[in-house]
Amino acid sequence: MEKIAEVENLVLRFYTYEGIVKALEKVSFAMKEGETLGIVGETGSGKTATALTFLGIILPPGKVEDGSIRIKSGDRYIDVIKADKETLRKIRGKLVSMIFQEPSQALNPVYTVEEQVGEALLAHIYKDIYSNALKEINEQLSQLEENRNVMKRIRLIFDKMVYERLNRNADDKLAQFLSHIPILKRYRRWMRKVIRRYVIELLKQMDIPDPERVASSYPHELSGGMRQRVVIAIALACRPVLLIADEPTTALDVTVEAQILDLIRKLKKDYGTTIAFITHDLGVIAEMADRVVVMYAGNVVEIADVKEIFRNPLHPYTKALLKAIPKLGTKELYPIEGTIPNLVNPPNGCRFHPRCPYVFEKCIAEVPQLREVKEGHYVACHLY
Amino acid sequence: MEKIVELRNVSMFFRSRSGLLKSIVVKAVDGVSLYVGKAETLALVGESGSGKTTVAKLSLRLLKPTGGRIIFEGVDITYTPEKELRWFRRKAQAVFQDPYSSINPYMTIRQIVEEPLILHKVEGDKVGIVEEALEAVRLIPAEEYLDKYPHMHSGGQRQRVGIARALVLKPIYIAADEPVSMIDASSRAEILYLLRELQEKRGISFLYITHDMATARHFSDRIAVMHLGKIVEIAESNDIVNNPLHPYTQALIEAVPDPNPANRFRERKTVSGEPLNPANPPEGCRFHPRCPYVMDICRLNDPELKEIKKGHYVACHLY
Repeated sequence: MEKIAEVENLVLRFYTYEGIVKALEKVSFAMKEGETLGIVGETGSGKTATALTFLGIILPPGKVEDGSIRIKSGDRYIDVIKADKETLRKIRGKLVSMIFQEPSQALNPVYTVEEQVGEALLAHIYKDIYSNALKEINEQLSQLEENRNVMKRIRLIFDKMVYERLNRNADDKLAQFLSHIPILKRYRRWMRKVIRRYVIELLKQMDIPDPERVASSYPHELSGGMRQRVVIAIALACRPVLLIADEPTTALDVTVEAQILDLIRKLKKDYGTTIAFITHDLGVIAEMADRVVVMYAGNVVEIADVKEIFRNPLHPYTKALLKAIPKLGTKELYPIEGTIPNLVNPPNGCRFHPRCPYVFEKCIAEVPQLREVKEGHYVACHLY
Repeated sequence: MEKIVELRNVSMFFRSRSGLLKSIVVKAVDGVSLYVGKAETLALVGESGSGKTTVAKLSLRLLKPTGGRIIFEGVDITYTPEKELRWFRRKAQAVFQDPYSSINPYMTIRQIVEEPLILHKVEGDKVGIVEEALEAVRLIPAEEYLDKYPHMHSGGQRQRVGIARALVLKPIYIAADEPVSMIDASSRAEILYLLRELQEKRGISFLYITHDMATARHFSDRIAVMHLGKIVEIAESNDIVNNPLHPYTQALIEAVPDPNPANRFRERKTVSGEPLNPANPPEGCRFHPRCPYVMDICRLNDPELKEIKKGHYVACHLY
């Protein structure tokens, strides 16, 4: 299978008053086309930071010090880290898009769902929308009788002009200027009608009941599950190659969580999108992921097939994490001793060594490298 | 079993403004009866909007119920004025969901844990009592934590501070409102472990509120399932997990993601639809719009809580 994205030696630091936070330390992994890659880790392990670098939205005081993220675009690969603003704009939405954890914070409370989904659609598939609108105008023009409806004809020809300009260039200055003049604003109203059809179509695909009503409501009028569906609709509006889902179900009720997971699975089948699924819930990983990346304190500690991770975990952290989750079947619980290290002064050597039951001298002295132990099973531990 | 807290047919209605003059009544809790026995944990499970937190607040008498009785250690405290409730406030404590907003960021950990002692005018070696509470929640060595601020700690450690604050007055009853839902997977196990240990050592009764069946089963002796302000099933926790009777309970158990990739293609009986709006509950059984086994009678009559087996109560027309 072809690699769709490749992260190599990513180093991310945050320069704070308390010191330099070493958030990511030489993170490397690859994503294959069409797979769902689960990224597991606790708070502060760097899962979300990795996701944000994919979109180039790490804000100061954060800074990517080293490494590359190469994403496949057609036949070539684009390096997100080195990309300029213009390239990043094209990458976002079209190549990579993201579903955030808290749907109520990802949506703008003062715009309706229609406006927000429409904005995402317009930003990327405006050509389709404009050419469809042009087709409609041409149809109406040909239906008009000669010598009658002169005013209507003039209006339609005017619209046609505007759409042709927009079709050539979405940022057309003249069209933007016209949209501010009250009498000539009418082309916007038409536009809204056209986009609304696209939005409703998209909302239907998200299994939203009564999409007409949802399209014209504000986020606060919707339940958490519906809001998350809208966020997913925005993320998928431009059919991205890579979708990053950052804990998309953590803020939802269990019954709704199951529905959203079903939806993401269905959409993946329909759209063929590659998904990076970030979560701290191993139960969700078991349901969704094909391969799993386990992160701890800014390091990748283990990468393997999902079945392999659950059946034959190698890294002591993965083992401990698997034992620590409450399961319905048993009553036993084995908590992991200790706490996540402070990343301003991370422990020497292996960052897990203060909590590791198998620790020996080498772990304190030397940082373990990620090595392939079995085919497709990588682990960063001195035990292997 | 000796009952520590008992709610008898308690209801809590809220008035919610809608429009300028109109107001609607939201029946957050509607005729709930339950008790928490001595040194027992009762888990209250349900989705958001089912009224779990309102029940917890009622059991702590933070709200005055619209109807029904609240009994604590055999004393009716339903309408007791706040001034005469001091003894109760000392014996009943709460642990909250969000360790980031339930402790004051401007206070040191010592001040946070000491505050209940000051409010209840406890004499003696306050620092000693605070240290003892911190050690009980395994913030060891306690002296190191005393003068630190909450932001210096992780979510799990902050939640321990919250638990220490609840413990410092040596209560006999603690209502824990989703104490682990905002905490990471690895610390979650530790907090649950800690709560269980405290219960075994000190014989504290817990009302444990959660939406997660898996953690409820780990920590509790009995489980009560709530849906839209009513209890739909109560039983021993093993009994309820292995043999759930109410369709809603079955759905909640099915919805827990199974950490075993071999089961991924197994068809799950998840309920369709969103949690319903408690301001506008449906006629008849409140679960019927989402129930896969809905019958005609469900649309007409609200089922009563019946004892099906010994200690296993369910409110459903199927039984």
